[in-house]
Amino acid sequence: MKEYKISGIEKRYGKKEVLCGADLCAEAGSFVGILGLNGTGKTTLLNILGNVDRNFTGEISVRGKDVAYMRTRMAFPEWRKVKELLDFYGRFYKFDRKKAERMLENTSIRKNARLRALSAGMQRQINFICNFCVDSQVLLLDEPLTNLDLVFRGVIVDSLIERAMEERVIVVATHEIKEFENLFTHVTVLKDGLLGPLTDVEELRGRGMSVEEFYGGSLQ
Amino acid sequence: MNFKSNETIYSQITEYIKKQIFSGSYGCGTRLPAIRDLAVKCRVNPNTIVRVYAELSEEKLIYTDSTNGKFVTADAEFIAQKKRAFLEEKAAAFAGEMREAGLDGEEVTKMLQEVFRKGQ
Amino acid sequence: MMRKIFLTEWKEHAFVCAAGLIVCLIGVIGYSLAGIGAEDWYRADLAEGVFAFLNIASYAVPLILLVMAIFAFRSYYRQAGLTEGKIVQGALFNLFVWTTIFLAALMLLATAFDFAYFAGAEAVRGQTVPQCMLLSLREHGVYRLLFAPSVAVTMSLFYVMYDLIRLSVLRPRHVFYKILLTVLMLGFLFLYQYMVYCAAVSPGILLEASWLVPPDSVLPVVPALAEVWGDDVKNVHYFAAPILNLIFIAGELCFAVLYYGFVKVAGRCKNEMEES
Repeated sequence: MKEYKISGIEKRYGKKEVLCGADLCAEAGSFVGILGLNGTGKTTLLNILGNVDRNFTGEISVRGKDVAYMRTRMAFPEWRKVKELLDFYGRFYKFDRKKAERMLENTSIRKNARLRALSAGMQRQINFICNFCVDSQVLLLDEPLTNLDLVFRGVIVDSLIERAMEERVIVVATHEIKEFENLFTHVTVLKDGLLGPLTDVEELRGRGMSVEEFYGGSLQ
Repeated sequence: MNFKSNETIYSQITEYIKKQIFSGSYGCGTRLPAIRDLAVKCRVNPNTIVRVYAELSEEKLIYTDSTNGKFVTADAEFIAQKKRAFLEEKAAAFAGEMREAGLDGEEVTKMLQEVFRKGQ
Repeated sequence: MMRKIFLTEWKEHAFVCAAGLIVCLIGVIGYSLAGIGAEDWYRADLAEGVFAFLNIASYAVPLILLVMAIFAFRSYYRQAGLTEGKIVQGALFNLFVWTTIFLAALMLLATAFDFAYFAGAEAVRGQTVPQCMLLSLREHGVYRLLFAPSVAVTMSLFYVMYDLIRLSVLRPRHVFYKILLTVLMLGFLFLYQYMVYCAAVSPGILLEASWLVPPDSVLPVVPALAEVWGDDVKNVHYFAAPILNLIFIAGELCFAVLYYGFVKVAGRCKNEMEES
């Protein structure tokens, strides 16, 4: 894949327009941050990109099992076991099960545990691990750090660093800039249903502006 | 590693490695960390490290061997040369700032001696 | 893809079937124990009660499986790139397979009961109304096992009709056309199935091999109900489809083609991705 391209994404709920023509074009190897306040439609956009919501107008260049999507909450029934979740991913995606199990060993999650028995933090952990171990062209993460302690936040950042070199695109929607600031290659701000132009982060810094300043400025 | 948020990361890391090389911490022929390892250590995007190494390569301070490992150049004289140029630039910039603040050469020297003595 | 969906959902389906069987087993044992040492006629009554219980299960569990099929549209399937068409296929497949499995198991249970309960008590069996022994292989022979896929066919048809109505409601843009299409669709479904029903039962065309249960129970349910209303000694099951009746098979195959055509023309969702 050379680039991940979305164009003209529009979505409305009845009369209300939530997204009015979002565009994005990220080269392979990019680490893109979609910044925006809560409720501006970041999750709506990611749901469209992750094929959860098909009620939209616009074009997306990569969809389906070539996209791994870590949502704020997993959609799996709570009575399923962690083991079944791994089976599911192995069945429907190109999934590195050995790697996922290795990552699980470093957590306190037992494979036989039911999802409802896990704490919110542990559910996010397994959510991340499953999607991270998918060999996909695009990795979408919706607020990946919420509910997680410092240790696993570190695990996520380190894991993403490892993946950042490969020829795929990582997209993180967040308003927590600090942890990801030095990982982003590009950022864009979602405001009023539109995605701002993709800004090269190092170029931004070269002009003497930090990502926080850029974000704060865009929100004016 | 803590980075300034309004300066390019790659230039900050480049400078840090240069200092390591000039001070001798990374001696001649030392093998530099792999791109991924350094990226993890600094908590930055590996593409940034790629750029750092590319820049250092261009300045001939490091070279890549057949196994794709990065090494500090064995040319000690060249390093010394570069070090001189680097320090001169820093000194000039510092001097410029001091002059703007209204200090002359003597005051600056005295102040620096104090600072270094206290640092011991 | 159907296999993958099957493997993903087998546990909940197996659970429903097993639960149904266990409830039936409890009923069987309960009633049997209640009849120990009782008079023949009382024992016959109890036996009819058990069979009635099992017959109810043969309606209830397939309906539960149908409801499960209707709610199979999970977002995690969409995330994994499954098109709605594929999910529908998977749901249909599961519905068919598990309905068949459950009913076959239920019939084996009924047969086991038939043998065990009446062991050494042929007189009691003589007093039991034969019409209730719908599910017993002892009464109707091994070929009655075909009843299992027969009900599965019916449930699948129910699901297909649900899908058609759902698409009629969802696909048109304006409310007027939604209502229009839905009414037309309901009318079409009713007329079509009634036509197949009439053709299948018309004397002379009826082939001897379609004895499974009398075709009084062909879809739609309404014409069958009208016939057997008040006539509850008849040996019918409203979910049985006369799958050995060639007219019925031909009719429903045409129906399947029409279904496929409608889906192709109407489309499923606004922005479905290409099949990968």
